[in-house]
Amino acid sequence: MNQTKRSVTINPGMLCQPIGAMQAVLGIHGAISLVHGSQGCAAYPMRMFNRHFQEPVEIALSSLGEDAAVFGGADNLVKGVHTLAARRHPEMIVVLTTCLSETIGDDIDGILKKIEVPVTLIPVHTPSYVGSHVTGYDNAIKALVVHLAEQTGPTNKINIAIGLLNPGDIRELRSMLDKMRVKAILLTDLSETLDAPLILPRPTFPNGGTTLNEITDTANSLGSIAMCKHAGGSAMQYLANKHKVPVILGATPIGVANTDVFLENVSNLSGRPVADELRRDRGRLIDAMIDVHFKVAQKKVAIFADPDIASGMARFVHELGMEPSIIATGTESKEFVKDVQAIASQTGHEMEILSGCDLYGLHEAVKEVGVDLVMGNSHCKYIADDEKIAFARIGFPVFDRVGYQRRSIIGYEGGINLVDMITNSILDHADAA
Amino acid sequence: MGLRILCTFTGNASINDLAMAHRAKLNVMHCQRSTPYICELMEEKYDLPYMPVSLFGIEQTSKALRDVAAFFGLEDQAEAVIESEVSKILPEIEYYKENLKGKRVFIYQGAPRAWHWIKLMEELGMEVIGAATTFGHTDDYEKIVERIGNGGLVIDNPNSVELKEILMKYKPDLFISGLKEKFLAYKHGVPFVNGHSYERGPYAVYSGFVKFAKDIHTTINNPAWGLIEGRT
Ligand code: SF4
Repeated sequence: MNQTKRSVTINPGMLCQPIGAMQAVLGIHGAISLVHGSQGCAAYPMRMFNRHFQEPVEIALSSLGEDAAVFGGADNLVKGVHTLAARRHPEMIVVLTTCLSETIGDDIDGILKKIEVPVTLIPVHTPSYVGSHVTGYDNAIKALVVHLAEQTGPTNKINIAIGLLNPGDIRELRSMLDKMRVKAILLTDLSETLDAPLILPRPTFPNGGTTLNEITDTANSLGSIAMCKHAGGSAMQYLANKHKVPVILGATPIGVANTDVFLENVSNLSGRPVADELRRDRGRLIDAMIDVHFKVAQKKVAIFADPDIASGMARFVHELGMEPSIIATGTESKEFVKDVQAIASQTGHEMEILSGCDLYGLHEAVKEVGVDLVMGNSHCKYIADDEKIAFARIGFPVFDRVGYQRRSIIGYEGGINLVDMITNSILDHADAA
Repeated sequence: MGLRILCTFTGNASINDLAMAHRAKLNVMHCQRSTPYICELMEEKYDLPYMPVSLFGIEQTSKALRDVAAFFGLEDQAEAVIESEVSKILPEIEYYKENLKGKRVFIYQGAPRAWHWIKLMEELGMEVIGAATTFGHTDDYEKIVERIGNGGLVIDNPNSVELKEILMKYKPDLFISGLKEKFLAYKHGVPFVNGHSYERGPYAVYSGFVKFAKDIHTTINNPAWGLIEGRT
C-alpha cells in the first residue's frame, strides 16, 4: 500500500504545476496564461477546466517542438508574446514554464524583460517534476505579488488568497465579507470569469476577476489571510516579509470550528465585528447537522482532496459525528500530515494519513480500512463503485455530475451544502443497495 | 427455547396466522395499554391464558423469558438462552454504561414504555428525571410513580408549551419521545432518541437493547451539540 515502496505511480492523485497556475490566472481580469511548453501542457488543462467549470477558457501556448527542445524555446516565446499581445490585447500575460522549458533551461525572466509590448508580463516557474497543481497555484500567486505589489499608502482592505476553490465558494466568501462590511482583495477571483452569465454580445474578456490594480494594492492592506495555506500561502508570507502586511495562514473555512476561526481572523485584521447575520447562518448549519446526525453518525469516511481542503473536511465530518478514517491528498506535504495529526489527537479518531498518494494507494487504503463513504473528485467514483460504498463528489475535477462548481463548500452556507450532499449520498447508496 | 410462535400480532401478521392465534397455549402480552382487551377476550372465549411481559433491557427481557419458560416447564432452556444472549451483549452494554453514567433522561411515550424504560435507563446507569404519557391510565401512572426516583416529574399528556418548559427548565441530557417532539428537542439543544418509530431500531430484546444504548450514546456524544451558541 505504501506508495513510497512502489516505483510506479498508478492513477495519479494530482495534476501538474501549470494547471494550478492557470487556474490562478483565470481569476484575473484581462489576463491570459501563455504556457511555455508543448501542446499537451495546454490542451489537457483546458479540457479539465471545460469539463469542471462548463465554461470556455483561453490558454495560449508557445508550441515547443523538437527543434526548440534542442536549440531552446526563446524564439517561440518571443513570437508567442507578440502574437498574443497583438491579437488579443490582454492587460497581462502570465508566462508559465513546463517540464520541457525548465529542462531546456530557457531564461524566461530574462527573455520577458527584453520584450517590448504594452502588456504586463509576468514569468512563473512551474516545473512539473516537483510539487503539484497546488504548488503551481501557490507559485503563480506569489509571482503576481512579487512582480506587482507596491506600497503606496495604507488602505482599509484585507487580502485573501483563495486557493483552488470554485465560483460558488468565492460567492459565499464575498457574501460573508459583505455581511461584515469588510473590503477585500481576492487572489484570485474566478467567481465570474469561470461562471459567466450568457448575455450577448460577449465581452472581450469575461467580466469580473481580480484587477491588476488590486494586485498592486495588496502591499497596502491591513492584513492577509491564506484560506488554503498550501495554495496562496507563500504570496501572503511574501507580503508580510517584504511589505509588513500581517499574515494569517489558514484556517480553511470548512465546517463550523474552522469557519469560526476564519471569521475571527477576518474580524481581527479588519477591525469589523462578526456580523449577527453570520451567527444566524452558523446556527442554521448546526441545526442542519443535528437534524441529520443519526443518518451519518459513526460512518467511516475516506477523504481525498487538496491538502487544506482534505484537512478541513476531516474536521467537519468529525463535527457531524462521522469518523474521518482516511485523509488523503495527492500533493506530498509534511505540513498536511502535521495538520491532520493534530486533528486526530484533538478528536480522538484513528486516521490513516496519506500524503502524496495516487488513486491506487487510496483504493488499497479504502479496502484495508473499510469505509462507508468516499469523498473525492470524479475519478474516485470507481473506487466507491468497486467497494460498493457511498460516494460524495468534492475537489477537482468534478465532471460527471452538474452543479458542484456553482455551490460552496466553505463558510456556514457551504457547510449546509456539504451536510445535504453527504447525507443524500449515504441515503442514495442505501436506496440503491 | 423450543417454543413455536403461532402469531405475532400486529407485527407483520398474516390473516392465516391470526386465524391460528387462538390455538396457542399462551398469549404473551407486550403492549399493556392496547392489548389487554384482546387478551382478555381471547381468555374468555378460548380459555387462553395471557402473561404481561416487557422486552426492554436485560433485566426485563430475562424476566419475560423466565416467566414464559416457567409456564411451559422450560426453565433450563431459558437459562441457557439468557446466558448466551446476555454474554454476547454485556461488553458493549458495559461500555455504554460507563459513558452514560449519571445522564438525566426525560421520557414521554404512549403509555407503558414510559415505565418499561425507567428500568432500562437505570440499567444504563442513567437517571430518569421525568416521565409523561399521552394516553396512560391510572395503572400506568401508578407504575411510573413506583419506579421513578424521588423528585421525579410525572405529567399526563403534556402539550408543546409544557414540553418546552421541561426542556428549558430541567435541561435533560436526553429526551425520548416521538417524531413530533424530535425537532422541538433539537431546537432546544437537547439530544433526542425517537422511541416511537426508532432511530436505528428495533429496540426490543437483547439485541435491540444494544441498538437503543448505541443510539443514546450516539446522540449524547455528537460533537455538534458542543458547537451550539448559548447552550449551557
Ligand atoms: S509535460 Fe510537464 S508541464 Fe506539461 S503537461 Fe506534462 S507534466 Fe504538465
